[in-house]
Amino acid sequence: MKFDPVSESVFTDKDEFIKKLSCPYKINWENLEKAGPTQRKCSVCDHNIIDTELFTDNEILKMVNENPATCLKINLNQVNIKLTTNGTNDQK
Amino acid sequence: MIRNENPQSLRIIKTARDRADINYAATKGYKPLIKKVEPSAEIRSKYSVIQNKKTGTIQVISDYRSEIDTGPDTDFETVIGWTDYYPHTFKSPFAAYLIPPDIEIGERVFVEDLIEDYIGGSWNQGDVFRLKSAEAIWNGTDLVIQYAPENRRDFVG
Repeated sequence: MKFDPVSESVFTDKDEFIKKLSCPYKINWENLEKAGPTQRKCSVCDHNIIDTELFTDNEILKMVNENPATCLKINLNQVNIKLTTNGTNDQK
Repeated sequence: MIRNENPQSLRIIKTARDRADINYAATKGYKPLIKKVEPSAEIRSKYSVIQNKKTGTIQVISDYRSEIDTGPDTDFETVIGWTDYYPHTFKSPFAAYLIPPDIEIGERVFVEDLIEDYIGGSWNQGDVFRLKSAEAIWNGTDLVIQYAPENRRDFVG
């Protein structure tokens, strides 16, 4: 999996777009209540957040395609993530 | 609770990023609070460009863990070594927070798109990220951003 921290976009290792992480809130993963081995309950919204470290690219892509509102958590140090940039700056 | 609603149901302050949007908001009764857009030297990302010597195509890498072997016996060479850069561009050198006419002194609000650069997090590879949103308090003339430094490594959304 690849992650662009500037645009906050997630891609597969084959550069397929998965989703843009859009949550504006400071969610502290460590403080969230566990909702099973692979997800935690959001403290702000009525959603569970998926720990992407525990899934393959294809599993994440399938989950998001089936439900685009799926919330993902990415830690910059997790083993299955590499940071990426597409060579353009983020513009507002 | 509605997704992306702010947790305390604070009023959301919008940001206009160019003259046309600022003037349009003014005609709708908002008081545009004008600010300079000034990049912070502390906010930075890094990149390196690797080129295939045969095809000319490039790969841009941003993570030391992605480094490609560019030795003399390979097809690749580093054409730009690791370089820091400011990763954001803004369409105007000024912007405005759109202050609603009925805002009260002391009101806490949620600023969706910060104009000022605050550090939102950093990483042990040297990247320093920009904070997108924050709460603020209206003091009658300005929004006082309620900035709490953090060392963010988790991204959610």
